Amino acid sequence: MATQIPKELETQAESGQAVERRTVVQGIGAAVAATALPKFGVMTRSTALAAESGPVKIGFIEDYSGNLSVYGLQKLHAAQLAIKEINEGKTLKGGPVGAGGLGAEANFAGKPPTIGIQGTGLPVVNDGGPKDHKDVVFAEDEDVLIDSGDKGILGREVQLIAPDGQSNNALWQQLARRLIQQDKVDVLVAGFASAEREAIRPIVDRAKQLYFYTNQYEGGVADANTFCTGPVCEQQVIPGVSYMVEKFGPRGYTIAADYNFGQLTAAWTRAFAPLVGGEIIGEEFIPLSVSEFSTVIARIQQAKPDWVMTLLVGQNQHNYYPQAAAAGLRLPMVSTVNMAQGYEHRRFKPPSLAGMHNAIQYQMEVPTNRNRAFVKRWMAMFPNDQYIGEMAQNTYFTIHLYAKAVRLAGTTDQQQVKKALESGWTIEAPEGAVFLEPGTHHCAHYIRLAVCDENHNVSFPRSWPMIQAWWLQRLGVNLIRHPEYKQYVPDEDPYFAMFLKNKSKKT
Amino acid sequence: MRLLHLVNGGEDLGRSRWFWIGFAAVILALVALPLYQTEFEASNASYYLLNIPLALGLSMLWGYCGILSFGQVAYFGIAGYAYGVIAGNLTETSWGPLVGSVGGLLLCAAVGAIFGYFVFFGRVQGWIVPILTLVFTLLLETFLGQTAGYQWRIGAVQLGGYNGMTGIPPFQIGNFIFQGYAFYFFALSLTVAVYFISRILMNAHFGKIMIAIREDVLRTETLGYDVRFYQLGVFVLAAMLAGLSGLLYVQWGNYITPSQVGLLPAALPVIWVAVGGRNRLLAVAIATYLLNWINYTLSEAGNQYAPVIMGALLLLVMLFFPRGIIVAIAELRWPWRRDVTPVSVQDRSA
Amino acid sequence: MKMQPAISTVNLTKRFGGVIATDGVDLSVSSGEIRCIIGPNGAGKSTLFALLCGIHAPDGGEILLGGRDVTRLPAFRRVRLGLGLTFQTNRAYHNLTIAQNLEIARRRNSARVDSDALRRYQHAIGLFELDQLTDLPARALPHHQLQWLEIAMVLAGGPDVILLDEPTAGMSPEETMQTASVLRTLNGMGLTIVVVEHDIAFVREIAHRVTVLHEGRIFAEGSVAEITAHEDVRNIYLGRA
Repeated sequence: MATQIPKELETQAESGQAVERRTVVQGIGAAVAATALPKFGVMTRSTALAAESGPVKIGFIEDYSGNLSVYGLQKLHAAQLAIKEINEGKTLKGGPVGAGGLGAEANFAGKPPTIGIQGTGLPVVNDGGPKDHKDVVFAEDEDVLIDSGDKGILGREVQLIAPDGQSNNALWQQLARRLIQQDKVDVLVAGFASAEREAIRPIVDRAKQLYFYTNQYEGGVADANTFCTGPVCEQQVIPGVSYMVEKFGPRGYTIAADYNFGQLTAAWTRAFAPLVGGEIIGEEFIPLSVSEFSTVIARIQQAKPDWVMTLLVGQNQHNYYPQAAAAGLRLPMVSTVNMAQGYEHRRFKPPSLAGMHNAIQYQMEVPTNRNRAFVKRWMAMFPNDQYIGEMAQNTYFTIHLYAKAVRLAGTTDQQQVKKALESGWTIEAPEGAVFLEPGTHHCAHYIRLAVCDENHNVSFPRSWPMIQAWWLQRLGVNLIRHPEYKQYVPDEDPYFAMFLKNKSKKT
Repeated sequence: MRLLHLVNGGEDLGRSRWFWIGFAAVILALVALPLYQTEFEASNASYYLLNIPLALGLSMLWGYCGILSFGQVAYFGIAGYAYGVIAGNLTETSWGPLVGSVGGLLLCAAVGAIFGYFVFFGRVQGWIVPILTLVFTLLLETFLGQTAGYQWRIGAVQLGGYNGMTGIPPFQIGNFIFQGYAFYFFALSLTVAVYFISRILMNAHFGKIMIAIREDVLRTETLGYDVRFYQLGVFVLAAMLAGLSGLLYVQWGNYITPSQVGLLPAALPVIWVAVGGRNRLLAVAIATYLLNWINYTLSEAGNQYAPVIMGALLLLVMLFFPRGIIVAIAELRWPWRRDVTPVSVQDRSA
Repeated sequence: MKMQPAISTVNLTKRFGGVIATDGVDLSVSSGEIRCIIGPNGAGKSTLFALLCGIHAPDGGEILLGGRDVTRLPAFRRVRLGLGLTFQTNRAYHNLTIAQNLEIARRRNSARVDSDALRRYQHAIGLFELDQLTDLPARALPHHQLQWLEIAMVLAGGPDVILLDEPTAGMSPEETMQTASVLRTLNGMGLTIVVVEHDIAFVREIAHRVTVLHEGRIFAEGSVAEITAHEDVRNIYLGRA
C-alpha cells in the first residue's frame, strides 16, 4: 500500500471522498493540517473505508482477579490511559523508519557528540587523550506525547472491551473466542503468563486475528499474527549476567520456577554465561507451590556462588527472599522478572530485595523526563495506583503503536494493519526508543540495569540503549516471507545444543 | 426390536410417547441450531455438549455401579494429550486426526484397565477408590506440569509443561476439517449416539449387574458374578467416554494444559452428575449441558465466583434433592400424567 | 459320586492375629443331607461360614466342594461350581423389584441349571408366595418374605449345596416352621443344605445331623437326639440357651 501514498493524497486533495466518509476525511484533513506526522495520517484506502464505521474495538484480556491481578490491573490502566490519549488526539512520537533507525521523531543531540577528557569541562575534539563515553551527549525529549491530529483512530472513537481472565486459562480461551468471533474486535491485546498466551494463540491463528502480547517472556514465539512487544531472554539475561560476572565474579547459581518460563530462562542463563566469562555452578527448579526454601538456601550456601539468578514466580516463591535474608544469605541476585513486574521492592520490607539486579526494559523509576511526564499523566488518571510496571508501559506504547499503524494502513482491516506494522517502526515509549523488527515481530528495547539497595531504592548504573531481540533472526525466522505459527525452544538452536552437550559430559 | 425395547427400559427417565415426542423436538431444535444461532454460539454449544460423554461415563460408573471417581478428568487429559502428540506428528497426512483419536481412546482404555486392575482386582475398599482416582489425576497434573523442559518432546510435539500443548490439529476426515458448525454437528451426533448406547447398555442385563453391584457387592459376587470384572469393565468404559470428551475438547479448542486435570476440573463432573441425578442418564446429560452453560456464562460475565456458585449448587441439591434436581422435576406428578411413576431402581445409598 | 461328600473340609484353620478362630476343622456333609452347625457365640460359626463361602482365605487346610478342591477359589467361582449362599443379614437387592432380583440371580448360572434345579426353584417360588408379586420392589416385602426371596434367588442359580447363615433370624415361630417345611421339601428334591443356626427349635425341625463348634473346633457331631443328649454340649451351649 505504501507505494500508493502520493496518488491517494492527490485524490483527496482534489475531490474529497464519498459522502459517507466525510467525517473521516475531515478528520484526516485536520490531521494533515495539525500533526507533526502528516504523511502517516492520510494513507486512506478508499475501498476499505466504506465497510468500517463505528468505534475501533480493542479486545483486551488480563487478570483483574485471581493470582495475577497484581499485574493485570496495571495493564488495564495502561490500556485505559493510552485509549484516553488516542481519543483526545494524542500519539507517541515515532514512525516507520526501517531497521536500525533511532526513530523518525527522535531528538538527537543538539550539538555534535564531543570526545574529551573527563573532568576538564572543556570539550576538545580529538585531542589524543583517553576517550570516555560519558562525554557523548544525547538530549532527551522532555515528553514524547504529541498531537496526532486525529481524534480516535481515523476519526473513529476507540473502545476498550476488557473482560477479566480471572487467572484461568480455560476462561482465557473462552474470552478470546468471544472477543474475536462475537465482538469482532479489530485488535486483541492480551496475556500476562505464557500459558495464557499459548492458550489463546490457536484461536488467534485460526481467525487470523491481529494480536499483541505485551509481556516480558521467555522468547521464541514466531507467529505471523502475533506481535510480541515485551523483552525476551537475549535482551535481559545476557546484559544482566555480564554485569554480574564483571562486578561480582564468574560463578552463578540459578533457582527457577519449574515451568516453561523458568526452565527456558535458566537454559538461556546456562548457555550464555560462558560467553561473558561466567559459569552456572548449580541449578534448581522449584515447583510453583513451594514456599519453604531452607534446603535450597543450604545448598546455595554450600556451593558458595558469587551471585544467584532468581527466577521465582508467584506469592509462594517470593518467600525465598525473607528466608534467604534470615539465613544470612546476602549474595547479590540477578533476575529478569523481579521488581520491574511485581514491584516486590515496594511490597516487601527492606532489605529482603537488597542486592537485586535486573536488566529491565522499563520500571517506574526510570530517571528520564519523558518517563516522569508519563508517570505524572498516569497518576493524574489513576491517583490510587501504587506502581507502573514493565508490562504496563508495554501495553501503553503498544496501543499507541497500533493506532499509528492503522493510520498508516488507512484502515482497520487486520491484514493491512499487520502489513503496516511490518514496516519497521520505531516508537518513542516512556522507556526510550523501541524498534519493532518486522521479520520476527519482536522489539528492540532500551535496556537498563536496575539495582535495588538496602533501603529498596533503585538506581540504574548501566544502560544499553538498543538491544535487539536477535534470537529468532538467528534461527532464520522471517514471518513476512515464511509465515509460521509456533514457539521455538532453545534446543532447536544448535548453539544451545552444543552447550548442553558440554554440560552433560561434565556431569 | 430388542434394541428398541432396551432403549425404552426402566433405567432412565422417560418412557411415554409424550416423552419421546418431546425428546425428538429437543433433538430437532439442536439440529436446527445453526438456523438461529451464530457460529460462535454454536461453538459454545459444542463445548457444553462435548462434556456429556464424560458425565455419562461417570453416571454409569458412580450412579449405576456405585464407584465414585474424582479422576475422570485424568482420562480426559490422557486422550487429549495423546491425540495432540499423535495428530501433531502426523500433520503431513489427512488421517492423522483419525489415528490420533483412535490412539487416544485406546490409551485411555489401557490406562483405565491397568489402574482399574490394581484397584478392583486388588479388592481396594470402596471408600478408598475416589481418593485413589483423585490422587491419580493430581499426579498426572503434577507430572504434566513439570514437562516444561524442552527435553519433553515427542516427535515434533512439545508437551509444554504448565503452558500446555498448543496448536493441536482439529478433527479431520479426508480433506474435510470439522470446525464451526461442522464441529457442532460432529459433537452433537457423538453425544446423542453415546447417550443412546449408554441407555441401551444400562437397560440391558449389563446395567442390571451394575445396579446389583452398587446395591450389594457381596451378594452379587455370591450369585456367581465376578464383580471385579464388571467393575473393571465399567471403569474402562467410563475412562474411554472421558477420553472421548477429552478428544472433542482438544479438537474444539486445539489446546490443553495440565490444569485441565487439576483439582477444580476433577470436581466439576461429580457436580454435574450429582446435580442432575446420578443414576439417570438423561438427567445427567441435561444437567451437564445446563451447568456448563451457566458456568460459561457466569465466568464470561466476569464472575470469578463461578466455581463457588457451582459448589453451593451441589450442596443445596444434595440437601434438598439428594437424588438430583432433574430427576426430582421429572418425577413430579404432572397433571397430564395418568400413570403412576413406574417402580424404578432408586439409589438410596447416598 | 454318591459316595463323595457334597461339601467337606480337611483340617481347616484360620487365625486372626494371635486368635485361632477355626482350629483344624474336619467337616463332611453328605450329598442330600441337611446339616446344622451350632455353637455358642464366638465358637467360630461365622468364620467357618466365611471360609466356606470364600470371603476369607484359610491359613491351612482344604475345602472340597463335590470332591473338588476349592480352597483357593474366590466366592463367585465356588458359586459357579454349585454352592449357594445366604447371609446372616438379608442381602436381597431391596431397591430392585422381585423380578429383577430373581432375574439377576438366574442369569449368571442359567447354563448349569438342570431340570431338578429348575423344579426346586419353581417349587420354592410357589411355596414362598413370590410368584404373584414380581413387580414390587423387594423392600416392600415383609421381613420373612425378604428372607425367602433371598433363598429363592440362591436357588435360581441351580446350586447343589446351599449354605444358609441363620435363615430364620427375626422370623415368628410360624414363619420359622414354614421355612423349615420348605427347606425339607427342597431337600427331598435333592438339595444338600448346610445351616448355621442357633435357634434350636429350628434345628430340631430340620437337621439330619448337627455339628457343634466350640472354640474353633468341632466339639461334637451326631443326630439331633444325640447332640441334645450330650452332657457337655448341654453345659457349654444348650444350658445357656
